[in-house]
Amino acid sequence: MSKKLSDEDDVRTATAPFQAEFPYERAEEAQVTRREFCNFLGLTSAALFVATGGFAVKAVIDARETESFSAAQITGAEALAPNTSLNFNYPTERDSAILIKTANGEYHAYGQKCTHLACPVYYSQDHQRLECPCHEGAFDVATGNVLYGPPPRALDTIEVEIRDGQVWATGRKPTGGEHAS
Amino acid sequence: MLVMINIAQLWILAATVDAALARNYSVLMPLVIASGVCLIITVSIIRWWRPVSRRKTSTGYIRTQSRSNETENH
Ligand code: FES
Repeated sequence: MSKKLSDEDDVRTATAPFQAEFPYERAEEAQVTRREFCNFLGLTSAALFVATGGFAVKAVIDARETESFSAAQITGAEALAPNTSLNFNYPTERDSAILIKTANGEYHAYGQKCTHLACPVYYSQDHQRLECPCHEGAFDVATGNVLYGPPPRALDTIEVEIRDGQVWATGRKPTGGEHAS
Repeated sequence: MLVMINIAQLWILAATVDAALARNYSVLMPLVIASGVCLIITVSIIRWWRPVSRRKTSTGYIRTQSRSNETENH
């Protein structure tokens, strides 16, 4: 009666003659062992933890650095007709923003980057709201809150002030609002 | 299990990025702690978990239970 093969050593012994004729490295067959795969997942876990921590620390450091903004006049804003908009840059030349003069004469300004995937939003005169052309997101003109669409949060608000008849941007406030319901 | 924990950590990372962009700083610390807990669980599983029916040898794992049974049978 033939002996029952129980583990790899037995199999190797039993197949030795065939191994000699047809050399075949069984070890090479299993390129990744279970333990190696587990270790890889452990490393991935550590990398994800480091990335999460690093991102959080960087966000806090960035927030400290960009807390103070200097006021800047928005050129041409005083001549804006009601229910129209004007693009400007604030707080730096690289940050595009949009100023809206509503039908009742109020000024509202927002960072122009859509909070979904950063497409520039524009003012829709017909619908009197800010719209994003990329994935049809829309924002409330008075609050910057999301009206509908994929954007996860409200637009960054730019504070505006009227000084001697001129419109000034005085600060930028991130708005962590949710979908307006 | 480890893959599921990795996916959870990926999700936590995405939430952290979103919270950072929304300047929602109060949730950053809980998210980092949650990711750390996931890492601790992962390391614990890798370090200490062993199948109960197996023991480690220099060549890998072998079934001690079935081996001893076979020896008795023959
Ligand atoms: S980028 Fe604005 S809705 Fe997608």
